[in-house]
Amino acid sequence: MSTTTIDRRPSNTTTVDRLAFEPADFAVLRDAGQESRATQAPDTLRFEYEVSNFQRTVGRQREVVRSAIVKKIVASDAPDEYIQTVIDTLLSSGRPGRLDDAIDILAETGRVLPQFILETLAQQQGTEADEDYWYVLIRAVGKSKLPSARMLIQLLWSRSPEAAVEALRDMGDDDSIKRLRAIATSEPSEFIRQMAAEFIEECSE
Amino acid sequence: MVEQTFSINNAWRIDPPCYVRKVDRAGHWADAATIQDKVLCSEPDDDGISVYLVSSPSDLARVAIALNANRSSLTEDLILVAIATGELAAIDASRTNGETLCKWANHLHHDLVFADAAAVSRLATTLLGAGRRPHRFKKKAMQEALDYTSNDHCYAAEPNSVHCVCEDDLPAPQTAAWLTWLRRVVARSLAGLFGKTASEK
Repeated sequence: MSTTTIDRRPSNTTTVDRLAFEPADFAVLRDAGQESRATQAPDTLRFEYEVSNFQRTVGRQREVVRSAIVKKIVASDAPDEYIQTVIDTLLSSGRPGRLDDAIDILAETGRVLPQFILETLAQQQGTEADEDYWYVLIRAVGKSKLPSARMLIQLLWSRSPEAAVEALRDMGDDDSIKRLRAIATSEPSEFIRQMAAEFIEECSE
Repeated sequence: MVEQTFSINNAWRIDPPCYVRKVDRAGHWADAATIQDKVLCSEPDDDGISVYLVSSPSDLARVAIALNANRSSLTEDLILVAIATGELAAIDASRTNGETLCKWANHLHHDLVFADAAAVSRLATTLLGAGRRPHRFKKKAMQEALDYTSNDHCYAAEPNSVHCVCEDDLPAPQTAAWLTWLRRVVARSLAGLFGKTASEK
C-alpha cells in the first residue's frame, strides 16, 4: 500500500500555518477514510446485499435466505451491527411487507435481540427514532416469546403502544391477555383500546 | 366460509372488483401524508405500486395466502386495504406479473403508475374521504384461506404441489405477456401526449 504525504507546504511555514489544511488535504483524508472503510466494510456490505436480496425471494429460497441471515447474526461477534443493518435495509425499502420481513428475521435471533434493544435504549437516551423502528423490535420480541419478552414489551411501551399490544397478543399467555384487558379499559388512545379489545375477543373465541 | 370471511363487501363496504394493497401496520393508516409515505410507496426502481385486482372472495383468499407465503407462517395476520376501480381516476393500472408462488395471484397483479407525488397524495385523500379503513384478516380467517387454497393444491399453500386447480383457468402466458407489453406502450404514449397537455393547462 502506498503512503500518502498530506503536508505539501514549504518548510518555512509556521506551526499555525501547518494546521490550516487546504481543500486538497481534505480530499486525501477522505480518500484515506474510504480506503480504511473498504478494508472493514465488505462483510457488512455483503450482508446488506443479502438482506436486500431476501425481499426478492419467494418460497423455499426465502426460507433458506432468512435462515442464513439469522445464522449470520447469531454467530457474529458483532450482532448489533448486523441487526442494525437488517432494520435499516428493510425499513428504507418501499416494498410492502418490509416490516413483517424484519420482524420474522429478528424474532429468530434469540438472546441477541434483548441485548441489542437494551444497548440501543442506553445509546439513544431520549432521541426519538421512527416509530417503525421500535414497532419492528417490539413485535419481534413478542413473536420470539423469550423469557424476558414481557419485561421488554413493558419497557418499550411508550415507543410504540400499537406494537406492544400486538406483541402481547402474539405472546398469547394468560398474563398477556390480562394485560390486554387492562389496556382495553384504561388506555387513553381509542385506537389502542379498540385493538386490545379486538385481540381479547379473538383470544376468547 | 371463505365466501363470507373474504367478502369484499363485508371487508370494505365496496363492490368488487377492486384493487387491494398490503398495509404493514394499522398505524400507517393515519393521515394522507403517512399513507402516501408508508402505504402507497414503492422502491425507486419499481414501475409503480404493487396491487392485486380482486373480483371475488376466492381471489381475495388466494392473494392473501400468496402474500403470507412470504411470512414465516401462512396464517399470520394480514392487513389489506381496498381501492375501488373508480377511485383511481386518471391513475394508470397496468397488469404486470406478480412475484408470489401463487400463479392466480400473479395473474391478478397490477402496478399503479402515478404521474407524480401529487397524484399519490390525491389518492390517499380520496381513500380517507371515502372512509376507507384497512381490514385485518386474523389468524382464524387466514386458516380458512389456507384450507381453501390447499384444497386446490395452490403452490403458495402447498410448496410440494405439482398442479394447482387455478392453473387450468389462467390465460396462456405468452398472450398475457404480449398484451402487457402492448398496453404499457400504449399507456406510456398516451401519458406522454396527454400528460404534457394537461400540465400546460
